[in-house]
Amino acid sequence: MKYVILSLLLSLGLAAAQDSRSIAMGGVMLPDRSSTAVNPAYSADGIPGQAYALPLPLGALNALTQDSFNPASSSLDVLPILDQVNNLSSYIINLPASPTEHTIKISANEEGQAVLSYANSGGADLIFGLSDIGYGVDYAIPINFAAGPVRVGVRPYVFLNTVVSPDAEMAKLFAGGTNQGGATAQIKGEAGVSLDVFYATLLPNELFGESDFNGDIYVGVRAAPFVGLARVDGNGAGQIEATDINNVSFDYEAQGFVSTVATGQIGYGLVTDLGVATVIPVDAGKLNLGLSLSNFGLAIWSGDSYTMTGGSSAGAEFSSPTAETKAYFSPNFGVHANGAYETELASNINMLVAADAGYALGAFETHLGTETLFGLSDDMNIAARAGLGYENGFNFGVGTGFSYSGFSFDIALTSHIAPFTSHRSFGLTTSIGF
Amino acid sequence: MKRFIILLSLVLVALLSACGPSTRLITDIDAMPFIPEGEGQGSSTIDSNLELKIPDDTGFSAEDMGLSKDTLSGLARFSLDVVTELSLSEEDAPMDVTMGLYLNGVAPAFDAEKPFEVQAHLIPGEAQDTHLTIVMSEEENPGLFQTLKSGNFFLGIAYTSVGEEGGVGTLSAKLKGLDFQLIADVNDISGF
Repeated sequence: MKYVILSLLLSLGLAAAQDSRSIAMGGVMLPDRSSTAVNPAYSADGIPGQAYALPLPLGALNALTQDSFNPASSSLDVLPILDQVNNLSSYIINLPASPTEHTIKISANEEGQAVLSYANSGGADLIFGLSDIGYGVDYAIPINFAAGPVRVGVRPYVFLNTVVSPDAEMAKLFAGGTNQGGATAQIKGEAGVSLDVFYATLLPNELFGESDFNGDIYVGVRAAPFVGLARVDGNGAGQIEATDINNVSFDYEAQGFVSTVATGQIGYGLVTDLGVATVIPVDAGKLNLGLSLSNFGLAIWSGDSYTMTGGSSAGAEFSSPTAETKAYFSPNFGVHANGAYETELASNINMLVAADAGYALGAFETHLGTETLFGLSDDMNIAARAGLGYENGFNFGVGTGFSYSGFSFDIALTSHIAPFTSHRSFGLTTSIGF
Repeated sequence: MKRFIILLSLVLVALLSACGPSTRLITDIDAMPFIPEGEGQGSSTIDSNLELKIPDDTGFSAEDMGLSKDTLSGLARFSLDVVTELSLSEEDAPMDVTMGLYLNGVAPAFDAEKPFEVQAHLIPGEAQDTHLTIVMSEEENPGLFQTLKSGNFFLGIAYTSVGEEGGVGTLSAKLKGLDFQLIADVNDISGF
């Protein structure tokens, strides 16, 4: 089993979305080919950047060395595994540990009603409250190559997104106590393979007529017919109330949809990404701007729907599965905007400042990063990088890189907030580019 | 109660997958608010056979104190803190009193074979808090621990004078604190 986890981390580590250059700059989207997966305009001829940047799956080192990753061990701990799976290309130096104590305190309010509150101690501090509690992973292995005027490739992908949203009363469980409350929960996951076809081009200057615009505008599209191998959608809601300490009522309901190729059910459809990117000369530098819409399209899945209801006055009732075909319009829609400014600070010293903001899979993210490039010779550079970002908490990164004749090696020290906790993890990532 | 605890525990612990190898689930219960009104205090004339009981009949049932059978079934360790306020009327002489805590599987609680005891020295006209803490586990008190886990037990507190001296006034007792702490391994949460 340990080797299953190791293999998973190794293979998915290769699928990490970002290389160490971007991670060192806080995860910012760069105005080059490394951003093709988000904005297809960056796949156009004339856009700089390496064709391939391969993060090394350093996260697998923890699977090899940490007893807490071994399912056969009594030290198995789920929290560090979740953190590592979320950051597969990072060797996390200070993995979080689960709390050793969860304490539920039961007392009474002025009306004599039972009131409960919760606290934890002895490990990473779990953070709960009014905000949503979520966990998500999103991995893809895009492999594509030039084929005439387009780039074609395949992209195996998997994502899972869950979120639990407590209401205001339930949130009091974690601050002061409560005797009632409710919460809603959602889960969405999918796995499949898409055929990616990219087309991007520089718009001819003639389109702009006599205007003063002196930059370049690139547009791109990714059309991706896909076959879905598994999908799960579910949502539910529950309410609970304690009128006294021995009289607790609760009820819940949930709906779910499951499709899996193992039972002959599949999904299919077509999604597209649309992107535009500009490069505008400004003073001694270049201003890069980009905008993209992701996963715009239609997906059709055949599967089974389920419902479940229950409560304190009646046991759980599961419905019989109902065969259903569901259509999803742009189910994983995302939008991203980015900007960057490149300039020469001195002879053989160039600086890049980049920023982005985006929304995808129900989450907002933004990043800001900078890179200073020192030219050692015509084809040899060394870089210093730093940046910060917001993705379920603030991240930061610092790093360096070395490039020679089309080959690069980058290393980054990064930081992020571990899932469900306030624990700040530090990780080391490396990647090679060519 | 079990379902409430289980649901919260699942949401907080299992569903969020924040379970480690030695994670414990601790339930702290402040049982005082659940004691029926008026049953947490009493007074008695001091004579040579002083015996003041709280409550004065069968004892508090586990359910009276907010402890259902289900809450206790997954128990690995149990502790109880009792605080009572004792006061001796001013006309009396100083005296020593034994506070006995009785836990019994059937009513009345005071039929328990052996109480947990603590002594207090009382000064007339001065209220004094008396504390008693008991900790139990399967290893230390197997018989009584199993009784507690069953959820069928009764608790009573009795005060007796030390020695044979008689008195002229009254002894008053008031239950001020009754705190339970129930500890279970998260791995055993399905039974909790």
